[in-house]
Amino acid sequence: MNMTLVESAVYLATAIMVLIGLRMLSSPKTALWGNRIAALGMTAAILTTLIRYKIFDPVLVYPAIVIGSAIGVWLSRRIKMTEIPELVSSFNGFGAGASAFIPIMEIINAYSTSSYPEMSVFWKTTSVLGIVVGVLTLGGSAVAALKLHGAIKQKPIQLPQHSAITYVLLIVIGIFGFFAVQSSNTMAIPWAILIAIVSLIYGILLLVRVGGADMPVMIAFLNSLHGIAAAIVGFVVQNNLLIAIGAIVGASGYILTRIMCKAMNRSLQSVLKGKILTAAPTQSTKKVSEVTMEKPTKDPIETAQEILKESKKVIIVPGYGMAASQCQEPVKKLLDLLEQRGVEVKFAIHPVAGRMPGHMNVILSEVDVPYDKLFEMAAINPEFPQTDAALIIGANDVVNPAAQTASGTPIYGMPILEAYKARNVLVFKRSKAAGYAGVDNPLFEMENTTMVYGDALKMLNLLIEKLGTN
Amino acid sequence: MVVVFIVAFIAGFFVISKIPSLLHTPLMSGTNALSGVNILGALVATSVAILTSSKIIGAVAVVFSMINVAGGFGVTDRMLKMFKEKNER
Repeated sequence: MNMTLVESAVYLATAIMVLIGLRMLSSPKTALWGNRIAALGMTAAILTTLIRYKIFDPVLVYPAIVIGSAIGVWLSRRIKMTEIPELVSSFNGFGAGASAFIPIMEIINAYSTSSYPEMSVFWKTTSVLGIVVGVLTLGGSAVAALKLHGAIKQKPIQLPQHSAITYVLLIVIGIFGFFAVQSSNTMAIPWAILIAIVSLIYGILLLVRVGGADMPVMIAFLNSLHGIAAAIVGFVVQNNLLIAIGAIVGASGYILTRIMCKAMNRSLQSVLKGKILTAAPTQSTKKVSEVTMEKPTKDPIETAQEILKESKKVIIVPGYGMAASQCQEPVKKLLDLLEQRGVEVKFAIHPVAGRMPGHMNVILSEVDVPYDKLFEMAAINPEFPQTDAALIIGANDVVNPAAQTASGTPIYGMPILEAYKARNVLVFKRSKAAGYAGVDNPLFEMENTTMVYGDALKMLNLLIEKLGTN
Repeated sequence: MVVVFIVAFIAGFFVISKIPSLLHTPLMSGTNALSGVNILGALVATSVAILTSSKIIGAVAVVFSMINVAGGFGVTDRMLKMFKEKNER
């Protein structure tokens, strides 16, 4: 049997299975099997490669496959759903690291047969590019994962002359790359390693100055880069499946990056530069603190309870605060309680709520909130005016009407959930601080808004208790 | 090969544009697992490696890729199982 032909056939089948799998991801009903079909395609491709290249190495390759799979499965089982963003970033880093190792190995392999100088310029260039993109994605993903995990602070870290340093590093990578392509057989490996080191520093510097709340954009961006890295490696090792799937992932990451940027009203460049912090505090800062200093005349939980008792329709707007205080369980309890009373309850999900695209949906699904109650921004916004109560849990910027009214503020023009149009607004918020964008939220000062400050988990449980007994 | 890249990019673009934001997290972890396809490159490069250094790097690359592939598909599967249409109580 012609193995090359079999290989091509399997690769083509895998590519088609991946596309079908992704197509099935467009509906939650078929998504589970879509993912499984894609995984099956990948397994077929791995097995075919093992057979085609007669890789029967029980000392190195097979243990490596087993160990890697075991670690991956173990991580994917034990992780909490709130930790998905850092998990995905870590996986991204591992994969990108592997992408960088392959051209390094290829260069070592060429060196060991003294054939490096005879390799084509195209091969050398793509090898260098593979190392650069792979390693910088590895460094960037590592920083992103640590930031998301809270191991390093969320605030952008700015070095003096940060931009200048990154530009210099890029030029250095370019120069080293040029030397690597021109290099003799003996110098090829040292150049490759130097390029890897500089790219790693570049990747780290690129991400340390991105703020924690901009991570949804960055995860998508790094995801895209990882795909591109895989495609570049495909050019190096002349493998069409790597190129095809790398390109698909690159496209996916690109789309998500664009959606996230639009939803945050930012450009990719401004995110990369950690620019949001330069926003000057708005004039109303002082006034707000004076207003909120006034003691509420009534227990806000009491007010919230009364409002919810009278409501026929409630929209819940979750934000990152919900995940941070782990209060998705009481949110679900509240949902059940309200539905028992015949109240219509829907969830409004902003595209950037949470720490990665779609994060809120996963967290709510975990506590058995059915997905047909989760609504996207465009679908739910027209319903706010007919809503008796909008319940905002740990969200701020995504419901800030200043985005529609206050030109000149950093969030002006950002699409928001129009919770302010609801008859009553209940806000569960940890503290009085402004949101990540540093813009005061006029929603919190509106007459029909009730602010419930404190740990959302505690406050929601209090509210549920009161509602249950009344 | 450049044609493969362009065609795949466009095909991917159209398929993925249709995915609702409801499923963006599983999409991301799923495509993340997919980019672990570089395992194929790692396997081949390791199999032809002569020097020990290259073999070791290859084994590390295979481990990393497999973490990416197995973990990515695994966590996506776990997530998608949680998406339910109706309250099942």
